[in-house]
Amino acid sequence: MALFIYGTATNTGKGFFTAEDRRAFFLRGYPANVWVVGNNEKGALWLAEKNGVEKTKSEAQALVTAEIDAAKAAWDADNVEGETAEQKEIRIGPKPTDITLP
Amino acid sequence: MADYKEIKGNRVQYLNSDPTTLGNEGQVWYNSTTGTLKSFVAFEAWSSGSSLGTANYRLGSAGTQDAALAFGGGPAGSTKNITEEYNGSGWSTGNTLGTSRYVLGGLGLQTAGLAIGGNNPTPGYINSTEEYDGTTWTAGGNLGTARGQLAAAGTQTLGLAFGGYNGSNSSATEEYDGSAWTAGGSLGTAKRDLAGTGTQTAGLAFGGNPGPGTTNQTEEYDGAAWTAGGTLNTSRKELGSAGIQTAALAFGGQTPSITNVTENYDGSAWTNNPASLATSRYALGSAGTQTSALAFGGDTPGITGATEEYNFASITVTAAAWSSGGNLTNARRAGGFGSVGTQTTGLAFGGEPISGETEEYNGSSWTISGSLNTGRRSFGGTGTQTAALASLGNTAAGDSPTAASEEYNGSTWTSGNSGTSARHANASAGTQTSAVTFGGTPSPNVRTEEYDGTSYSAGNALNDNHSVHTGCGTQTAAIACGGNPSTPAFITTVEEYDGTSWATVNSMIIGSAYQGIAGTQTSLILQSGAQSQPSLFNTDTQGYDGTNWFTQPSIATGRFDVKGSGGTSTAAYIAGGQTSPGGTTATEEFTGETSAATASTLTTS
Repeated sequence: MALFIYGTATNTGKGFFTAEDRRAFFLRGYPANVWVVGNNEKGALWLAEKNGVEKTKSEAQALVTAEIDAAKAAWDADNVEGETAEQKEIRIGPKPTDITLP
Repeated sequence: MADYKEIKGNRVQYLNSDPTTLGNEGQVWYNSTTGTLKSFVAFEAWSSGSSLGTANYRLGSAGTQDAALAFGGGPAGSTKNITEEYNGSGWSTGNTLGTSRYVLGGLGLQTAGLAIGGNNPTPGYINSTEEYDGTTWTAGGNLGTARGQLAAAGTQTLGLAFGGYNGSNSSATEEYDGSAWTAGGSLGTAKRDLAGTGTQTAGLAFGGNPGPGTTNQTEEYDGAAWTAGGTLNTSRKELGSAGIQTAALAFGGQTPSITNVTENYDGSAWTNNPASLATSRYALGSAGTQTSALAFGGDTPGITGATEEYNFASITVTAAAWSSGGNLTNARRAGGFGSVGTQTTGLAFGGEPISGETEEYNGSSWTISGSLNTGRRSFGGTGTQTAALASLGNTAAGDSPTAASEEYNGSTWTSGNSGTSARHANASAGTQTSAVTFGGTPSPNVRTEEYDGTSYSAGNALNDNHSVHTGCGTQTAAIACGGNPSTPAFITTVEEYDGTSWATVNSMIIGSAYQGIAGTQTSLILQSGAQSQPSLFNTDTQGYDGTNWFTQPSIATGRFDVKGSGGTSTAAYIAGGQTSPGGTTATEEFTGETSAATASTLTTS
């Protein structure tokens, strides 16, 4: 049995996931509203209750990669004349890097 | 037949609600609201704890549930020399073993542990042992028979090592006196990957691999010879163990399928325990007693750092966890570095894209309030929802630091006096009328300024450079954590301020910058932000108790450079931050571990 379920769901704020959910199953959020959920009964129920759309791992990875690629491009394009690399990092944060879903 | 009053000397208590604090086991009362007779009755349960800092398996372990030790570990191609210590809340890093090793034996306490034998590609089967004094490992006496996959029991000065593998299964037993090993009576059956517990004169060996397969055998040691004990209900190998010869606990292991089954031993027979590990695993670390045990690490499959605590008690332990809070109105990152407000009276202000936007949190939703007069990001933020302070910061998309400060009164921001130097990426601690702001760029990144509600004055410098770091506390008891852009990793350096000078204290487990924080100098939780160039969007959090750093439960959505954070070490919030272009609106709330007396209803049968 696969360890995780992959899906997209919109974080609606308070109550989207509870402390009880966090104790009951693995849960990680990623760019592009991708969620990796522990593959047990409570995890599957949570994704369904949140109107999540289940994805294959490769589909979910593609969504995350596209989001990260866009972030990298935006980071590369965001320059201020005369700014050092350190100054840029402080100004807009470190350059986003690839994320590999578990 | 004697009634309750004759036995206890008083009548059953008549209460309109259950007591919230634990009385004596067996205490009986009548709940007039529910019309039921109630009592505190112990029950079994595993609950989640904070994960190991490094996922690990086939490691050595020792200690108790609230003072455990994890050391060494696999996999074979990458044996570990790391040590981690558990304080009942989280894991912190200890000094390393002299020799990397896995499938080793471990015994003793967190302050008097022993690492025994094990395996390593070079030199292979290990005969050396190492003693831990709570701080450092030093060489102990060598085993007579080098081997791995062995079990151990006892103490650092009265130890026992038995079974194992060194090309073939071993039945060897060796006894340790604190300096040298001598041969003891052999196990009845040679086996590896067995579990052990007890003492040198009352040891217990159970499960294992007699080769090939698994066994349900139990053997009991009396200081001279092993005799057969009751058999496990579930035959297994590479299982966890806790307790003593007459009150032991077996959990997890491989049957060969990976199991979560827990069993209790009473000195003669094993019985299935109704509580099971939440995460089935084998090759785990374990510690504790039959009523208060700890399971950590293992293979699930997939190497895990997950920790679980077992309790047989009248209390329900609810593990700490992060949950979702209300979303910010607008996605933003790079707000104030510092702890502001509480989990139910939070405040997030400023941020990137450059803004003065302020939002107030009531524990469930954010509401936009009066904006900063000067939009800024990466500044020092501190205070409360009705009396906040924004110190310095960057006022433009480019590098445009300011020395200006602003004060918030719960609805509007007004300009305060300026600091002594324009800079940003600084952090703050304290209140609106008694604050300290420290670090930041441009160089030197060690500057400290104190604010008295009217004006800033220079304080003594930090010992090390800090920028894009965070901090919290008060003007006379502040803390500065990590930061400082560098490639590839951010610093772990931590400094404490006493109102006069900064002192370097124990380092964080994980170097990080752009963090969120909540709490005080002696009790805080830190959302670990960015950790290194290949490792952004992190979910790790760390706790600090004024002396040591330890792991805490992970947030769900990795992020760095939050817009706001605050609260206490047991009731914190983080809001916004960088997760993807433009940042996120997501808020997460932390609730610390709790324990509560659990009343059971008495029924007749």
